[in-house]
Amino acid sequence: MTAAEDVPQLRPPGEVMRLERMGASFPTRLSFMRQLVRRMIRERWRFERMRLDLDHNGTGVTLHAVHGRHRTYTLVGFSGSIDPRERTDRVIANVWDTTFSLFDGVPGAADIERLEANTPRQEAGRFRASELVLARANRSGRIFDHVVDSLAGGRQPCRDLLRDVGYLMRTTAVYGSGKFGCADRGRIAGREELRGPFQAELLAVYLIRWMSVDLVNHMARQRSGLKAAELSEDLARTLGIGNATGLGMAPFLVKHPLLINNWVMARENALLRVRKVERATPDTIAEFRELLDDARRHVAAWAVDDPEQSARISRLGDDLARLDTWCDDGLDGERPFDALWRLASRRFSLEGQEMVVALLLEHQGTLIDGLCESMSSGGLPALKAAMPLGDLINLIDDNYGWALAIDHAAPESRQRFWYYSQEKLEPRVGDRYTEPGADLEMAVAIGRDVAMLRAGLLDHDPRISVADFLVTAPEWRSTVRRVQHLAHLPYAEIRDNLLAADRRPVDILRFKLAFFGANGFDPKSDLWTRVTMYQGAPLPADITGGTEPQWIFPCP
Amino acid sequence: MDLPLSVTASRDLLSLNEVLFHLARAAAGAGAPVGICEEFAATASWLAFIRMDPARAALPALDALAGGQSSGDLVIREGRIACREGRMVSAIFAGPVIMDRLSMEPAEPVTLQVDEVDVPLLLAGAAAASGLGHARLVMHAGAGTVIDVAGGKVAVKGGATCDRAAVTIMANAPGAAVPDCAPLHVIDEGRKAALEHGIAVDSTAWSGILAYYYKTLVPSTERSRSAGAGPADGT
Repeated sequence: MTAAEDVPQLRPPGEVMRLERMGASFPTRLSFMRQLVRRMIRERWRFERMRLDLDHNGTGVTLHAVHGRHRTYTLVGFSGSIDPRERTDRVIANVWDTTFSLFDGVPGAADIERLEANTPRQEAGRFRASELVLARANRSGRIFDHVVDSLAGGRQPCRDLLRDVGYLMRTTAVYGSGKFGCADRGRIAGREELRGPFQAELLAVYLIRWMSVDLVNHMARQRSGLKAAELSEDLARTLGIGNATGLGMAPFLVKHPLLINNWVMARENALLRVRKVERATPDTIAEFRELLDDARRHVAAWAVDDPEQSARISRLGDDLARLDTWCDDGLDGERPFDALWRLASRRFSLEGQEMVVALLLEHQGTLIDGLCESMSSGGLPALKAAMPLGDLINLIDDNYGWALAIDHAAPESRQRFWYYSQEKLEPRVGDRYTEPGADLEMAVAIGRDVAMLRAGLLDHDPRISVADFLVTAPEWRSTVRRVQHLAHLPYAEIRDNLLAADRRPVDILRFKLAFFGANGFDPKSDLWTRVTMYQGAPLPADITGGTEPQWIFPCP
Repeated sequence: MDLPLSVTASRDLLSLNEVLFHLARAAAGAGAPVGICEEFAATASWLAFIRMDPARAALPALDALAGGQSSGDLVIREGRIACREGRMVSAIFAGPVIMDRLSMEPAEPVTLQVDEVDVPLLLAGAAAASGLGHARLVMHAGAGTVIDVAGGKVAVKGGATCDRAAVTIMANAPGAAVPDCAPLHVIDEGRKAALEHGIAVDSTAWSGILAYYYKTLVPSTERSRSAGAGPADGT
């Protein structure tokens, strides 16, 4: 190894931003749920159950408020029970067991009346800037009734069943950022507690989790009165909120390259800082090995139906076993975490490598938590109109080699197209050669567009300005602007061809969900996945009490 | 066409994000490419910050482009922006061209002449977005509306009615400044109000914009329905 190779470096974007690796991502302590929970604990947020106006079927209105350092937010819930046959994860559903609005402050009677007329209608309702988030959730067909029946019978539900499912309710959409009239991001982005990515949406999900536990306890009490048991805190902590995620997240990542760069840059800088740690103390080593044990238990309990993912989980288990053995003496030398990383990057599967990232970051809060402040971003700046075309070509050649290397003319390279369906605007993927709608495809083919732009630029004088070029070629404006501003942002682009027949959109979903902090990836096809959010996370009472158990690798 | 400063009685209240999202996609539905659509949405939404209705300004521009009365096939020669095909200049396309020209020399005096343009008002947002010191837009029709944009402030003189018109844009003219006359709009205040209270748009105009937006959506089929998240298994 040369001296230069010996110095830890940031991982190259050509390695990090490939779909296959993105689809092996795990949450880390920088993930957005973790950021929110740490803030709530640090600032001792208080939780107040303001209203639980429900009948024995759980039908009625609920208000769950959280009082932060400066503001109060209230989850307004409208709960009912739909025919189980109508419970679908699809965006195109029209009925849900429970619908929610996250209200900015404490709603008055008139607000609740207005929301009651709109929130249950979801996309068909209209909302105001006083509402930050709109969401809905369905009860788990596998365990919700079992939990209520058990509690009503005076006993705790089956732990194994709860562990297998992981949630009482599953969200099927969580909307923020001005959707359907709700508050724009710009209205709340300056608030300290909501400045980080998706903090309002994830606060809503955290409150939904609390509400779901309240719901089963309340229904059991309604049925059996004092004979009913209350779900134990231990079991309640093991339950998160389920989520089904489809293709909508993929275009988001393409459309927000600065944001994606900042997310990944924070994580990669964190990894680099940890790899540069000169020595590990005995306490640090002990903490790390304890966490590794939790990770192994978590992986051992991670069961999915998908055969490919099952094989990956099995290989991951082997990687962690090998790591455990290595740790017997591997962490004793200089730069122990760099040595560990080098082992993982040489020997482990992609899942194994990415889990090592999560392991390495977990106990280094002092070193890396400040990076969370860098994970937000604005939009792309304005076009650099005076830039000569020759400079633009150089930017492409220097930064988009991955795009130029793809054979975009090959039929299989352009087989897929992404589009919005007329049906509730659901994002979908079609086959260009057999399905209609390719003329309306979304602009997600960044690699193809950059390659085509470069070919077109060669027909022009390299001294003319971008402004002059775009007068007669306005169709390239978006691509030009993107190339100009992403040139020095290494992790801004997904360095893969999203149109290729052999690419799996579900990889993109897992990448984003991992940054959210979701766990338990359970791919149901190449197009959608189920996950669990906040499983193992502290309960409201834990937060007020200032404690945070280990929950990055929940192992109920 | 009448473009009032305030919206009509029949109005919808939208978030800024909704306005941006739908205007961008409506422009795509009218035939504009994605980069142009994004700039159009931003500049049209900017009108809301000076208490004008972005929907009433945007719809005739979309209609003119989709109907072929205006075009984005532009040419610029010696400071004059014209349409190559003898049609009206599309404000949807001319806005970004103006933005680029002005941003290239943000502190220098620049004069641009735009041949008859379908919705001249939309060019004000483009001038404001270019980050220059001061711009004056003179619309050569009717009462001759004059819009001054500078230092985050906007003054509109000559009434807010403007039909299709040729436009002169003078940037950073010597001695130019925002006149101290009413109504003087402060962009940051208008933006803050939009975020706090939403953006009011004329319902009929907004329906017209949605009609263009719907053109960008692909009809659903049984096969396409299978390409989404989740079966109805209730688990």
